[in-house]
Amino acid sequence: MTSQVEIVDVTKSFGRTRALDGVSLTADAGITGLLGPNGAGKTTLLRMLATVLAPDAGQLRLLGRDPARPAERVEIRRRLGFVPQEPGLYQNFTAFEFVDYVAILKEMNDRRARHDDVRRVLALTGLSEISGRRIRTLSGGQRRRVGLAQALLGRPDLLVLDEPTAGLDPEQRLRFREVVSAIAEDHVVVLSTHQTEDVAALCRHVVVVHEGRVRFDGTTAELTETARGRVWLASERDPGAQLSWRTADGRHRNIGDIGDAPRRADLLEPSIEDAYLLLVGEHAQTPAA
Amino acid sequence: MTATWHVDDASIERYAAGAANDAVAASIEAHLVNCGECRAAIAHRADHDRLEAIWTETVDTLDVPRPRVAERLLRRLGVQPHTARLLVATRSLRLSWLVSIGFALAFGVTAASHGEHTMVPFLMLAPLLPVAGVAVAYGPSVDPTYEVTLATPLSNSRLLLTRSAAVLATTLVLGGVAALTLPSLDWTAAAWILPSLGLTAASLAAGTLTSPTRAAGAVTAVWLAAVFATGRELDDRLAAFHSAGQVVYVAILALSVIVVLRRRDALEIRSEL
Repeated sequence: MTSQVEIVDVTKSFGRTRALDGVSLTADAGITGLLGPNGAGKTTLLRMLATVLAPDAGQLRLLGRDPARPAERVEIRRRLGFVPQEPGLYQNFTAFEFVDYVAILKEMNDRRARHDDVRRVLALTGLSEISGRRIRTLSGGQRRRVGLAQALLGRPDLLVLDEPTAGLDPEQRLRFREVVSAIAEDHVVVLSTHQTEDVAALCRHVVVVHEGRVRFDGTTAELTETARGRVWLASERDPGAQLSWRTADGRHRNIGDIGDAPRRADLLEPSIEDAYLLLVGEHAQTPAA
Repeated sequence: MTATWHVDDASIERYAAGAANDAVAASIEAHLVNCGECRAAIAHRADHDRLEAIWTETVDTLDVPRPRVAERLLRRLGVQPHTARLLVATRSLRLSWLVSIGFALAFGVTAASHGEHTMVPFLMLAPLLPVAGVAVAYGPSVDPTYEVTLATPLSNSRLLLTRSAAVLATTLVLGGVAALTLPSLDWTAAAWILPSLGLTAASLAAGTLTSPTRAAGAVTAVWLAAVFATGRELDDRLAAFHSAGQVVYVAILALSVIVVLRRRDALEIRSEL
């Protein structure tokens, strides 16, 4: 069976910088999470899934169609929702007007049906009460939700979300998880996030991208498993550890290759964050992007 | 307050079917406010589809923001409501208005004091107004919603052309007003129109190869160089605006239209952002 999203050996360069280098992956109904440090190539990959950026080489098939062909690209876009990393908004528009504007771009020309859908997505994202407020008066989190609301118009089959939880407070993030996980029951959602706990909470499928290449592709449980036996607590920082930090109880959490058995060390159950940090190696000390 | 009388069955039937005359309907509605028994009697006779439609229309009227002035004006001019919304979102349309008004006023004042000397600067700068407007009508550096827009099924080349047409219409009207202030109202007062069309089309064509702002910059540079060069070569500062030049602008217009049509897919999916 073919997948809803198929990417085969895709490359993309900007000048001398190779953003993607032979990336292949597939995604189906459910949530696929992209993890990787800043500059790993996630945004480039998501822009290709959103059909706004063409690859230099390689093939993409989205929802069974080829985005390189103009007619098929339009068909994909009719079934697509996209939240870019910086979801620009017209500051002078109200939340309702902006989402209504995007609905027009999505070819919803029947006014009443369009307004019904605008109200639906504003309610889904918890914006009904402030739908009449101008965007320039909204908080950062509220603006992110306006960006998400426009992507949900028309119940898209493929939802592409670039850092959708950035700027959301914990309550809004939980609300986001609720909305997106409901959609992902029978639709394809591909997202990138700073938050490994979002990936752990939401994603069945996780892909770690680093320096333009796929470093891991599997389930979140499989990713976590790669760190088994490589996370331990000790009374001090282990010189052989890749990363180490003092925890609240004063002991050091070390991650890396355990090497010679350290004194008074306790192996720990690894987390997805440990596995991610180990995968991206020396770049792991900067926050994940 | 409890009602001491009730609406008879026949009147309820007619009212529920929407067949009661206005006076009877108003009377029944006033009564229903205070009479739960009659409200219950009418509830199961009501046409639910009709009620749903009325409710949706009511919510839509109360809930939806009133279109802004520019949008209402465009609708009055016969523009489709959804196209009007696409146009009012174009920041450059407002900028074009302001710049064009400023241009018209500046030339009006300058022409009054400097007469003939305003002719060449006017003819040289007027065609650049729509070029500048188109440059900021669309693109990643000027439209905050560019990526979202690109990912929608609406043809981006159509959107760009619609916005460009609006910018062009705006600047042509106000350029025409500025032309009325020129000291001599002969053929030269209209000699900027074909260059405007040609240069705007050329910047759209170049925009399929590079960003709209870079395209407009290149077209502007070539235009100014060409006007100065032909003026010096032929020892006539208006040389670029005589009939031979006008034919060239028509040719540029035609060629640019062909380029835009052939390369329009470059506007739909970008090779870089």
